[in-house]
Amino acid sequence: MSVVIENGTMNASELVSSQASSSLIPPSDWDLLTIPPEITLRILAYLDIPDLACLSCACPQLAVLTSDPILHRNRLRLTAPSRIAHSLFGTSPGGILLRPSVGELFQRGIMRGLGIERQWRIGGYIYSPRMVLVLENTLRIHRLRAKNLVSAVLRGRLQPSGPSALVASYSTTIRTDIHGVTEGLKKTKPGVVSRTLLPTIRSLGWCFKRDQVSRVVRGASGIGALFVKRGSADGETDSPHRSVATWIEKQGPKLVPDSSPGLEVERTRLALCPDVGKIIRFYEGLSVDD
Amino acid sequence: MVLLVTSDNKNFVVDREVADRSVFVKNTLEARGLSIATPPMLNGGCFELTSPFLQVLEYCQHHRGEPLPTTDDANADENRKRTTDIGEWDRKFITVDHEMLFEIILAANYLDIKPLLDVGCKTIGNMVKGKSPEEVRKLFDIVNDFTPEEEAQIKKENEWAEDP
Repeated sequence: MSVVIENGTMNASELVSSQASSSLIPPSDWDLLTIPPEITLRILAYLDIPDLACLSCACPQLAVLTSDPILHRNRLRLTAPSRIAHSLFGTSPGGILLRPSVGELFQRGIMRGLGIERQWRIGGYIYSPRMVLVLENTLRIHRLRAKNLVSAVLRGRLQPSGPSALVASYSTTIRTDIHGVTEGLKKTKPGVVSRTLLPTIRSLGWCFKRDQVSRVVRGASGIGALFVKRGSADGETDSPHRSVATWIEKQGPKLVPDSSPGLEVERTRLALCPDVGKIIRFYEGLSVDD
Repeated sequence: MVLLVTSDNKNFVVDREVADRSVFVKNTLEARGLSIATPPMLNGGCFELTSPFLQVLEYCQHHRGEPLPTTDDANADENRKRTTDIGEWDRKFITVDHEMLFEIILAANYLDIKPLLDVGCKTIGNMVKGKSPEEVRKLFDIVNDFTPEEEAQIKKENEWAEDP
């Protein structure tokens, strides 16, 4: 077939060119081995396994074609569709999944790994190792970007370099930040903050108070002297605990700001030495017995 | 009317309806309107000789006006099933010698006449069915160029498929 014309007369020059293109002599000895392999596969598609086995024994060229994976996939789809349909994602005639879906498998923790779960949650799913590589690369790029961002911010903040500058920046920025947060949270109405966060906030507040007190204690000249005294005078009967206790007893009211209500003072004392609570309770019990 | 010229320069004037059986001709006509279409070479040469083309034309004449099969692959597979039964007229039509049969298949493939291609492939499939490798070789004039080791290997691989 070289020329197709509808309702027309053929132009002479075009006729000549079409004849030139069709001057090839076609081979006339077509057989099973010389026809294009696509057509052979088409023929093989009508055969079943025993016949395919016979053909593969007949000649090496046919042996290659009879083991074509797509040929066998199609054969299976026609002869035993259940073999393929009953795979991981098969559905019953009613449309119900025969096996758990990928999502369900993830939820049950059976399928996991390589960020697939995360990918699944955001709506994607990975089918090939290549996609895993792509995902890992994107994650790596994300991390790199975050790292660069943080380091740029830090560079801008720390003009003088070195550990002392770091400490300074910590104390000036971060600590005040945290303090501000807790103070702010304390001021907010109870309803605003989630109930589950309340204990954390309270304990954080107590942490700050303890830090404050310990700074006061460490800063007081008396305490350092006490330890020195203990070290130098061997015959001293005062245990360090007792000496600290007496020191606290002396300093007592000064340790906490005067503005705090009485309850706060009591709490501070309990926070400082939790054992006091036990002792107090013991003596209170004695008084009740009396 | 459409004028079709084969590669050995025989002219055929056929109805548009008959020519449209070939998806290739149909598409060419629709794409080019009234102009000339020189199809690309296939497998090193045109093989549309007069003799197979006459057969193909006869087939097209007989099946003129029937709806063309859909090009959708999944649908085609569904329709194809695995039935190798061929219609009465088609079976008579296709009882030709091997050489002609292959030429018709190639022509049908080239001109994109799916039903004819299917008939041809089914016919060859039916010929092969139930034959031993030796018979297949005789049927299609295949030279056994397996080495003895290769042949033993293939035999061993296919042992499970043979009849008990």
